[in-house]
Amino acid sequence: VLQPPVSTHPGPEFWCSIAYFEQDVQVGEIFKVPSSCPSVVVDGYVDPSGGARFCLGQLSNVQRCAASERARLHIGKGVQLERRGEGDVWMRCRSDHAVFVQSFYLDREAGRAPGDAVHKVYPGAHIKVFDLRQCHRQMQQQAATAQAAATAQAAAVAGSIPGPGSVGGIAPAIGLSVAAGLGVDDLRRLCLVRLSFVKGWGPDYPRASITCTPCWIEVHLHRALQLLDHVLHALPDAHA
Amino acid sequence: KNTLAQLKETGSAFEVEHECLGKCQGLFAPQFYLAPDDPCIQCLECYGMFSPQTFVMHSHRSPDKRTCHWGFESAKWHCYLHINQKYLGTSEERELKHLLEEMKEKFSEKNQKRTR
Ligand code: NI
Ligand code: NI
Ligand SMILES: [Zn+2]
Repeated sequence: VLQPPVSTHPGPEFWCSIAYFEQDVQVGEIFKVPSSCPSVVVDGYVDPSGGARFCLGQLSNVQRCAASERARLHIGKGVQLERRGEGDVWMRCRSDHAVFVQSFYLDREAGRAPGDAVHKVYPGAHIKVFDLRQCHRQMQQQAATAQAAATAQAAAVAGSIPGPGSVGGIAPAIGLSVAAGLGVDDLRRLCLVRLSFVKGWGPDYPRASITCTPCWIEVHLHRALQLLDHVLHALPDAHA
Repeated sequence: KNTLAQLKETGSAFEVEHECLGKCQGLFAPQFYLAPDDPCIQCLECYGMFSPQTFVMHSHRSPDKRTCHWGFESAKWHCYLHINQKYLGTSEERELKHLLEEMKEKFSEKNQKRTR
């Protein structure tokens, strides 16, 4: 079934950019994938010849720890990420070890609350990890909620703080920007997928968060970020 | 436990592991792997015997709380079974990896066609 595009705005020059991390340290340059290349491979090898390939094996880190050293040996053929249509993303695990994914789309598919689950994707599996339409709906809802909260907070601050702070709208303006700022970070999180090679995190593993895993990537999805920009601009008082 | 002792004596058995639905280590005895469903892997924890396909579903870890599993199929056991980590970087690594690969291919479709 052909669906109309989420937006008629021209697409981005690069459909995603990928940052590589070891624990909480970013290693190497950000890798950008042109929109003319719908499929990209992120693997553990050293020679990036042949198509869109981000080879993590060639990246050096003088402070690399033993855990990263070991885990990197198992990345192997890594993963393939494929953009379908306007901006949905499918992933294939080509490694002979599982990859662990943070994805709001998979949270929903698994019937979990957003951000609640860690998704283990087995070797050989090929699954959808991102849905642009769902993301767009989610960001519209969240933006509206954040906006309403900020407005309510501003009103509360204006009404509750006596004295010069509330005069001329100074205190309300601070309240509004703080609440809106928190909202934007949450919204940007909707536009990315993170995945850890080999090692999992969360209550089932000895690592609390993905930023404690030995080798992981963050994939920024540019079409979704573009849509977010439009959603934010459409809000009243977006530039307050 | 008797079988384990026997296997170690024959010398050809080697340790394997998987990380499916919980982690598990076992001893793979090639001499017992004569048909696809033959129990040829002994769990190092409970000493139970398993075929490769049932071994990747066997584990002693408590069920996951937050982890959702995608794309696990026990028939793909050859994708999940590895030599024990302890062999990595040792002189045995190469030989054992090769031996395990041979075991994975022994009853694979590819080989079935070749022998027909
Ligand atoms: Ni490996
Ligand atoms: Ni603007
Ligand atoms: Zn057992």
